[in-house]
Amino acid sequence: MELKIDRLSYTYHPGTPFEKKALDEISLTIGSGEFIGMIGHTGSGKSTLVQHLNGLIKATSGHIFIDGKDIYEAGYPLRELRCRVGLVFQYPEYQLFEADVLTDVCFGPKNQGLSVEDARIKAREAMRAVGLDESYESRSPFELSGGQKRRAAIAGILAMEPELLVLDEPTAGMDPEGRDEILNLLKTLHEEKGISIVLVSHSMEDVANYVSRIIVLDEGKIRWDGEPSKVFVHVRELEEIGLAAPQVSYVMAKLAEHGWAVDPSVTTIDAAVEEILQAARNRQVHIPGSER
Amino acid sequence: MTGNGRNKIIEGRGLSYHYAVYDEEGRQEEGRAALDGVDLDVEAGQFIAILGHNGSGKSTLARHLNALLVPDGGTLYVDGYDTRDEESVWKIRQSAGMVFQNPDNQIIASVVEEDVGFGLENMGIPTPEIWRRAETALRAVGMWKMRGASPNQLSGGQKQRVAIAGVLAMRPKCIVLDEPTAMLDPGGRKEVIETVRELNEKEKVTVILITHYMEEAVHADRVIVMDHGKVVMSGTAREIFSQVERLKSFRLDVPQATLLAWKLKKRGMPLPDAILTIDELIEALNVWN
Repeated sequence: MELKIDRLSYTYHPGTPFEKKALDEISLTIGSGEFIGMIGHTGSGKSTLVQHLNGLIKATSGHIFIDGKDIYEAGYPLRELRCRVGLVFQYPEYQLFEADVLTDVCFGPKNQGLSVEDARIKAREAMRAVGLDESYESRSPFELSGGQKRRAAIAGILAMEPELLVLDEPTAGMDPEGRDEILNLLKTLHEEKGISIVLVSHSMEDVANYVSRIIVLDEGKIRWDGEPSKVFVHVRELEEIGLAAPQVSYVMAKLAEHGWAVDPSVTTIDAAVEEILQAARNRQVHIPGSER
Repeated sequence: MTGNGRNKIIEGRGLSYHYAVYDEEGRQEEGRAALDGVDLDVEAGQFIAILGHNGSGKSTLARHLNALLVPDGGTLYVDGYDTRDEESVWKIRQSAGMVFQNPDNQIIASVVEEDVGFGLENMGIPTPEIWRRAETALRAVGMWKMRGASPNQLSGGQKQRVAIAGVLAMRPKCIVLDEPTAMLDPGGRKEVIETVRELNEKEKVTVILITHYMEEAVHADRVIVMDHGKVVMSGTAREIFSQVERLKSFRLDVPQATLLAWKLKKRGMPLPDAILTIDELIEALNVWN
């Protein structure tokens, strides 16, 4: 699925004293199979943009094309769109409501018009994908741990078999391992099921570790759109707009400033280890056990 | 101050707490221990960070510190008051103020300055004194210029600073912050942590910071790690963050700079133990420059 956004603008409360332009002429294309990170300070327009992707909010001006078709045209099947583009809101575990996990995960596919049996098949598949085995099916969602609840909520969206999965801060408030579990789950869904993913996050480290393209929003506009290594070199400008770079980027930038022959655009720890070791060897630092 | 005369603001011995669990007929069952034999001593003026995975008991412990919960076993003295003593509840809440995760749930008034004065009004403080204290508190968190703003015009970090000012205006000896940065962007996180560190250093307010961001704990005087309702590690940030594998076994992590140094060291790079910050790492590497 290709999603193309063309000069999209959105204004909250137009014509009132509270009028606020949340999105300002956004244009971008999300191709099939992409893994995109979206970052921006609070109020930069991320959540507003995300809600446009499945037609929950209608743009004040501009267009969204899915596989070339304008979703704002009369007769466009919006219901189908909401299944093709799955949206996972912030703190999705607050939206669990059924008496048991399986019924909760069935909610989406049942609304798609599937029979109870077919909905259960999809729900079981989705639960397996997020790592919740059969023993969870009859449990109350409210007795699960925080991380399990969040995975159950994601399963509820996955059960509708979206082609594009959009998640608004899926790791907020999670401990480091819970955070890694969710991110690794997204990575698996992307690699094994070929689902495109848009990950909205306030964690620069997470974004750097998982995505291949970053979109930076500021004041409702796209500030940068590119590979992590290209985006995170703008450390000072990112800080000016309430963001940051991963700690690794700061380390590499400072080493480069101090004359080390390292690539300052490295954004992950493992790549940084190799860069620094190589630079140290070139400086003939004696590293025990690593002689060639 | 408590019995032994030392300047302890918090003194907990063998604290345990069980959340009530009911079966289908409404009979109370034996619940899992959310706190299980916790000892906690905090001296006035210290900066303590508490780490632990979701469900480890951190927030339950925090809620004991201002008597929102009282232990069902053991004793807890806050500023010399026994938290089980109902008469002391208000004194305890004045000594130990709480700041929670979600800034939008903590702001009540429609003007920043009035929100900061809300707690004082409830305490029956005379109005001129309320304005004076609100001013001092707002200046301390760097929000005085925004005193007339509506809270909905503020960023997440600014809202949390207003929440902190509201607590400060009560003149507490101790502030307990339960994941105050979890919902903030990087800029907001930095603002809040810098504010908290400054209050600790300049105003000598005791700080207890609960967080999932490991890099926020590196400046603490002491780091406490909780797991299954118990304190499993306690020490300086350097002592704690030098144990990368042990922390991972508790579902935790270390700051990226620490992890990078640890991995370099494992590959044979001669580096000191437990580097905590970017600057420390650069300094250690620059020995060969």
